[in-house]
Amino acid sequence: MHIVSRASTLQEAELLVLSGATALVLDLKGSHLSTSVPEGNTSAHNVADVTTSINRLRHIVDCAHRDEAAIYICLDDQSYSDSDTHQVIKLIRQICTTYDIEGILTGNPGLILTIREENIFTDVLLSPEALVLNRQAVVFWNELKVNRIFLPSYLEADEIEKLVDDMDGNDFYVTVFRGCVHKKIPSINSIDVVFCALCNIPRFYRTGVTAVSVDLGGEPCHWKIGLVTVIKTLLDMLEQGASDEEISRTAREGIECAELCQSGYLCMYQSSSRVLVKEADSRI
Amino acid sequence: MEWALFIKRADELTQLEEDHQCWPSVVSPDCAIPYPASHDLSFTRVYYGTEFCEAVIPSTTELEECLFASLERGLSFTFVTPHVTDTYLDTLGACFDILSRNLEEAEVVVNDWGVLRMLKKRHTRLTPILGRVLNRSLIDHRKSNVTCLMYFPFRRFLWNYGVKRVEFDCPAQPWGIDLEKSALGGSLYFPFDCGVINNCFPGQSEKKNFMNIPDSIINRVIHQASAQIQE
Repeated sequence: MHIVSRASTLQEAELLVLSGATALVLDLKGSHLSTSVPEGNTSAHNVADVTTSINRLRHIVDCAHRDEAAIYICLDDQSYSDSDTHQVIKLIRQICTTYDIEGILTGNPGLILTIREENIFTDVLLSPEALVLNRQAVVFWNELKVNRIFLPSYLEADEIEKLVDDMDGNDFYVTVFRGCVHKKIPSINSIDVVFCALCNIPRFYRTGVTAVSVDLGGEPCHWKIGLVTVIKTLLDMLEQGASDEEISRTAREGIECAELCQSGYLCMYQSSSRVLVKEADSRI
Repeated sequence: MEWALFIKRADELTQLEEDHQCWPSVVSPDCAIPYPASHDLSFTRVYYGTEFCEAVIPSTTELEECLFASLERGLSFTFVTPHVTDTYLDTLGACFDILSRNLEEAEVVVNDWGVLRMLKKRHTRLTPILGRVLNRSLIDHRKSNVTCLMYFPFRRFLWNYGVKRVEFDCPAQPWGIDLEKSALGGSLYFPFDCGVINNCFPGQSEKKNFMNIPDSIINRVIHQASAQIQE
């Protein structure tokens, strides 16, 4: 099972690969696209995520490939306009051929269609924002020759299991940790929340999920490295035949928040929330 | 321009006849969008269904009731669907069968790529409309807004799938797209926008989850935060 993490700098990429990450996702900034976004509309450029200039891409790719880790470039931007059409293609062709990356992360069917029509030979890793929740959606993307699918975080574990079982020939990626809370300074208005599914890793492993991902965006590097190390440890334990209880205990010790774990507040892929909605609906 | 009324139950249609003045009262007077006085409005279409939650997809009985109530009043019908898991795909399939049987032409708002494929392959009489969930946009009320429709290959992709119209929120600033040139129709929703933030999980806002966080944990978070500030 692969471990996927976002990376921003060369140093971070090196450390993540050393910690056990087998695939890195990079956000690309400074790609000289003349989007029609008004100047100053920073929200359109994913500033929340740490970004990587194309000039530094070569070093990161070399570093990752040295340790046999894959590189995916995130081009999941809504702000492309008509005038960008040719430039986007030129950019993708450049990063796929010159830099020899493994694939593009996107959820834009128009962009994927263009990649196919322009005969750019690269894998596409489907972004979780593409909202693949059912078999029909998987077939929809298969028709665009997309077989690597990042599942959104609010599917239930049972549903993930069914999808993986039913849709042979696809690689499914799931997120097992998002956001951060327990060590973060609360901002003025809100506390960011964390969602965790480390206890589900044994289940995903047995189901045949291809990769688990840590989605910490622009959070400090040592948290990503810590989490990747924890996941690597869990996967090693699984291969050595550890029980689910042992894995669960190690995961809780790894993220140091046993109390939050017990509250259930952290857990992703649980069915309880949706059951509650259905119960409430039936009462109405 | 056509006016459509989004209803939750068939009996809401009777409000149009009984109390014609009642509906604009739900629209804030401070709403940035000017709307005509109620007596100038004439609804010619009904929206029925749900955009965001598969658990509240109407049953076939409810759909029929609403559909026939609309047809009796001479109103066109649009069925709104959310993004769905496999469990609810069959429910939607049954609803589409009813629409295909009873209408020459009906619109279906899709918010799931799988549902769009299902319409194209199995229910060709139904016209797909791209819903607000799939029309991914960045809305900033201080500046003009961007949408994935601004990218030509995306629009071409929609034409291939027979999408006739795209649904939009109605923010304070204009959209960065000329719909007339794009050969796609547009619908605006008001007064409420659909906003999604990074860590929004359906069902996670359930009161139980939030209220069950022990005080000791909250105290610890605050303690750690103050310790880090001091460092």
